[in-house]
Amino acid sequence: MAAGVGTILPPGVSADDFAAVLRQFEAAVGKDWVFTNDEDIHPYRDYFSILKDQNDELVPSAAVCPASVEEVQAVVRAANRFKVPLYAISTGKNFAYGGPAPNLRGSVTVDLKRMNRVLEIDERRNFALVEPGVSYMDLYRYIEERGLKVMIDTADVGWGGLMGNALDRGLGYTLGLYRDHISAHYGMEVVLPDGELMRTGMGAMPGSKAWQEYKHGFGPDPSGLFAQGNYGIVVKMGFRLMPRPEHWRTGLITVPKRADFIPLVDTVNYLSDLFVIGEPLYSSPLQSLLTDPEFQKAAIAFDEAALDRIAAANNRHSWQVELQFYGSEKSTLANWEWAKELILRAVPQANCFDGDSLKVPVTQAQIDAAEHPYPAPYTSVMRRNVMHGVPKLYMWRSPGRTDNDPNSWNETHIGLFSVVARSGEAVFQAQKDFADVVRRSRPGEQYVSAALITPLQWHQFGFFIGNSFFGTATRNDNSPEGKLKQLKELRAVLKMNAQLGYGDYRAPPILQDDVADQYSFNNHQLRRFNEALKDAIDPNGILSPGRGGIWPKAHRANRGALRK
Amino acid sequence: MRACAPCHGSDRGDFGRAMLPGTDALRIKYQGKVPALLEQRTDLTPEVIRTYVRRGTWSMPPFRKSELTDAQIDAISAYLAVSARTAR
Repeated sequence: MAAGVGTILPPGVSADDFAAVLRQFEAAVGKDWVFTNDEDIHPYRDYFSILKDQNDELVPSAAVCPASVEEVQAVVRAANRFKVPLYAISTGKNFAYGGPAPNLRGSVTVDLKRMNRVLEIDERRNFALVEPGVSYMDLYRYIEERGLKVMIDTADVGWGGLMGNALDRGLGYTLGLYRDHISAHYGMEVVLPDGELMRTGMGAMPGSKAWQEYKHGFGPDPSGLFAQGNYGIVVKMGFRLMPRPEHWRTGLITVPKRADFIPLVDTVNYLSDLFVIGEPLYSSPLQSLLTDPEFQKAAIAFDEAALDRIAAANNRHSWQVELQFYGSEKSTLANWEWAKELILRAVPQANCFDGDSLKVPVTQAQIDAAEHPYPAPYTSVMRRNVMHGVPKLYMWRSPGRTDNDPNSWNETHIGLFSVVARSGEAVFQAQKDFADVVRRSRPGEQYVSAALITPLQWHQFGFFIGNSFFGTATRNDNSPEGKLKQLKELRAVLKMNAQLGYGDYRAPPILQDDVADQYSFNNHQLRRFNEALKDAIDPNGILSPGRGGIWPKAHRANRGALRK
Repeated sequence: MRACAPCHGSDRGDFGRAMLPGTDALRIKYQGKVPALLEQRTDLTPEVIRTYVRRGTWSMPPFRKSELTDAQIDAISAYLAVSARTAR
């Protein structure tokens, strides 16, 4: 048990005041839904915390579970009276990014999972309005049970919620707008730190019938402040849903030489930015050659001529990208033909292989098995369920047991991804930079596969390359000392990344100050702006202090205080 | 079932894997000594199930009362008891 779990007080709050605020929480939500003992608090900890069972682990002092907007307002007003810091969660499944744990130890967690209604869904105007506790799986079932002709863009792990994922800027896999989950949001209802209720966009206009049509309304649109921020508790959120297409088609393009990656990226960017393709999936068919010592040597040296020579000797191309098209049978075919024409214009030696051509809705059997597997040595790395908006938990195998390593698991689970410019040249530079970061962080070690890494997420607004190789890619030393070493390494990596111009897009609370530090233009003007707003909107600093690196005046001394 | 089956059910996994992550983890752990599928297990008491659900184990995180009430966990235990008998 972490020292103090079930017995700690919120920072700066006396035992008497804590008891008093708990009574007010109970009056607001009922005695059954206010938790303070160890057994009930345990699931509100970050199960994968680097500081697990340590005295400074980020555990809440209590949890309170409102079931309505009015109850959320009552909780916030009570917290304000006693200056008790709150931390709001929706489905609480943000694992790899801290799970349900707060940024400030001793905060009271406001668990919104009981607010789990789909309030409205429209298959003609293509939107849903949901409460915080609605998971991807919940909405998927809701749509399937009613036979609605809309689909969702789900995160990899489908037990998460639409609202929480979007508010932490999570990502999916279908078409442009939909797969950037915060961009797909259309209208919010928010409980502000003083307990007042605000709606954004057209929702701010009484009588408007277009809340989920036009998210900006008039004047400044503050909805962006609530993503990775701490200015309010979002209690309703609209999302644009993709209308179900008639057809889904895939194809594979391969290019022979290392340098061909550059025109390949340019071509895919062109198709992507014209909204012709969904999430493209890049990878290198050379991965399986990494066990060859000669290839390994060439990869570590980024020796382009040698890499090309070995690829040719092994009868395989250096890069591949899988494309997916949503539309009609004819339109997807025309777009695939166009994609082939474009890539062959740029790289005449490219290969193009037809993949699936499936009428939508597809069956689970069609999702499970490719219609036309690609010829060896090329294989698909497509996450086929999420491409069809089917939420699953298959990715959850990553932290668990494997046949090769049956007696260990990753007790720490951290996601860190750097934003990289959208060009082949920028990816090549990032490969070299990240290999250098590994050499500097762990002298004597090599990032052997660096020359083959491709962005995990390949979006219209940026590329993401994982740099959590110290976090999840390998099995780690799970001793308390080993975990702290890992934390120090991650902090050093984030600093080195920033010096090289790479900023991370998301982080667990324990690293959010470090990531916020990366965004330091003009003496941290962005953070100073955010904190000036925070102090004006939340003078007692009660809402999620520290989230997004934004510390209110009352708790600002905690910035960077955790195991520096 | 909505809470357990997405990880511990009998569906296929992704990327050509035969099992879902929870089922697969138990296959690796027990190597055939007990069934990998929870619905076929006869050795799971309600107390054991509640402990695993509330405390978590290995890569399975714990579940909060807001996600699964005690009564819902009891219903899961009752279901598993029946499904295990049927599977024999």
